[in-house]
Amino acid sequence: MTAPTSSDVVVDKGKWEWSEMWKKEDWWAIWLGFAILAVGLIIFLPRPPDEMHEKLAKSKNTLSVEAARAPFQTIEWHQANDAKSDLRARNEPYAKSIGQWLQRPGRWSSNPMESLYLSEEAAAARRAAALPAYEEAQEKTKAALANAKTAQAMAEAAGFRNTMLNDQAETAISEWRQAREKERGSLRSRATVQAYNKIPYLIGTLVITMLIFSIGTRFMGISTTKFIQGFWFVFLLAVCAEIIGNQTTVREYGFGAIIWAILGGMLISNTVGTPAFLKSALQTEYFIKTGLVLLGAEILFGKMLAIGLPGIFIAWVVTPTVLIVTYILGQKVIGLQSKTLNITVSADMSVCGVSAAIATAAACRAKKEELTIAIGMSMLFTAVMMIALPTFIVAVGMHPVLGGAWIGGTIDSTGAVVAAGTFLGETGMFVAATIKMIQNVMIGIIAFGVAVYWCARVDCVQGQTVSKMEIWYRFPKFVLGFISASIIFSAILAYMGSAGDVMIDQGVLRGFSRPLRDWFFILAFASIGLSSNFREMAVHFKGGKPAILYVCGQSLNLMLTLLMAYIMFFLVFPGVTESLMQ
Amino acid sequence: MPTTMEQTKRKQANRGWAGLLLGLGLFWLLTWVILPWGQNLPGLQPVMAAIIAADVDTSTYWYSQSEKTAGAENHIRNTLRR
Repeated sequence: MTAPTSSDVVVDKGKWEWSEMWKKEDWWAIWLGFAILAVGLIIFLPRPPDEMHEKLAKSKNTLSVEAARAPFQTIEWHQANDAKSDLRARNEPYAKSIGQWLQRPGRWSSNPMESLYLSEEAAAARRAAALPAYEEAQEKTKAALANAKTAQAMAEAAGFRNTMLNDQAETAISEWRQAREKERGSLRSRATVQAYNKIPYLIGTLVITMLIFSIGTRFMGISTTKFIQGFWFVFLLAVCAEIIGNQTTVREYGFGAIIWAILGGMLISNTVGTPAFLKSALQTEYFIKTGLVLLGAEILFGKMLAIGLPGIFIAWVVTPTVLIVTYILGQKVIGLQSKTLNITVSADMSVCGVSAAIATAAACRAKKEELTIAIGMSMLFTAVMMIALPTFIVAVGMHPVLGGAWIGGTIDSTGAVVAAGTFLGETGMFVAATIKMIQNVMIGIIAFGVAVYWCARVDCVQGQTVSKMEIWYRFPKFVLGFISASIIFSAILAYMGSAGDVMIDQGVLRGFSRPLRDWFFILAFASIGLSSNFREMAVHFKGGKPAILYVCGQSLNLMLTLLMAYIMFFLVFPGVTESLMQ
Repeated sequence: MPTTMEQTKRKQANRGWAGLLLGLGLFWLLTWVILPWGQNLPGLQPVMAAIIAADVDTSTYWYSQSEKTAGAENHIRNTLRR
């Protein structure tokens, strides 16, 4: 990612050459991305879970019958909802086999080797240690369910017309759900752990990813032999970053593999130096753009409607407002020198952290150091907000729907949003995670908008009028793949209805393209780290201006999101809030 | 006798390796001392305890990486359809 300097601002007429389609990484990202998505569709679509349509119809029927039967969500309603959620194509045996070959290192606490290998004895010891607490939790869930059934039966006997009995049943059902959630948390993970050896699969992933990217190198003028010679080291660094990011404590703070890949690479490049044999393998843009085309397929527009109009207003009105105001603030008030750094930080802070930073930086051709600064700041501030925001919300006794919406609209990364939402209880977490998901969908539009704006307004001489064809010449073509993947997969999902959630979202995407995309991004960040230097970064961070921009933008984001969430959930659509609290 | 250039190169290499070791040492300090200590601070402890109990992967940066988002979306859609 190289930003144009004053000396290389595009002023001359660009031109289109058909050979770009096989010589440029933008196009290779599209070809590879779509080839992967096509393979995913071919694998998954003909192999749905047994009786998928019947099970979906049964769940749908139970949900509507139960919704009409009682003024609260009954036990049967929750069971039907759980059955629907658990129906996933990626849980089928063939999908699990594929998943094994794309898996990442596992979690560990004191021995890093456990990230790659766990013996049967060690697994048995872990299971034995966790079993008493897990069995106790199971018993509590059973007791809570029995209690909920009794309370519901009493309410039903009164024809669901006795408010006190209804409230008692609702409370008992809520307690059962909480007990079930607790049982299914870390207790179950520890009590059901199985032995594994991930090393052969990681070697397989190395070979798969190396083959995928080697194809394009041949046409793009990169020596395939040299690429392969260096690729294994980049992959090794990516694996090390995954191992560090999976250390229990590090993971609980939200410092995932991406930041360790950058830091690990920078540690090498700024101390002993990046070995020369790696240079051809440091294809940051190639990795990142291919990953972005796959990410595009996960931008499913149907998800925007998950929580109705309140979600759209919070995520789609506040977010672009904050993005634009922050960008203007960065240029006019804070005086940030680099426009690409400004827009990357603004998007990263206002939209959804790391993913928004990656998409925006690629769309405006920001420097890799600028992307690193944006991601580093996002991770630090996210860790702080993940603790501070739910603590404040609970301390002031804020309504969980309002608190959840506030968290979802302001904390950058999904994991931290879910973590902070968990502190507010189930409803708070559900609202927070859903708002974040709706906001995630925005990055497709943002990346496209930024790419067009940069071609038409920024990468040209002041006052110059840029023709439509000129915009096309300069346009980062991978964005077309990114947007096309989004439109195509949104259409497929809409056409398939509930089956689409099972086969596309919980099949092709989460079971196939996403694991590959995770690897592509981590390879990209290892490459960024290995080709970055601290001095260059210090220049961009001069005066702490990016941090000031982030803090100012986030303060505005906090105020506007809270205000909009209050207006939407309490003044305009109080019915939605009431329903969510049931 | 090594030439001045060789000495400089050796010095730079030594400095590089020392920097690498220092970086690794800092990582060790962060992971095994600072972060675990922070988890027990009164202000952080309640949220951290909730995260640990619910087994949330806080390091995910995109909705499809989190198992909880699909459940949340499904629950909310079905609730609002009532």
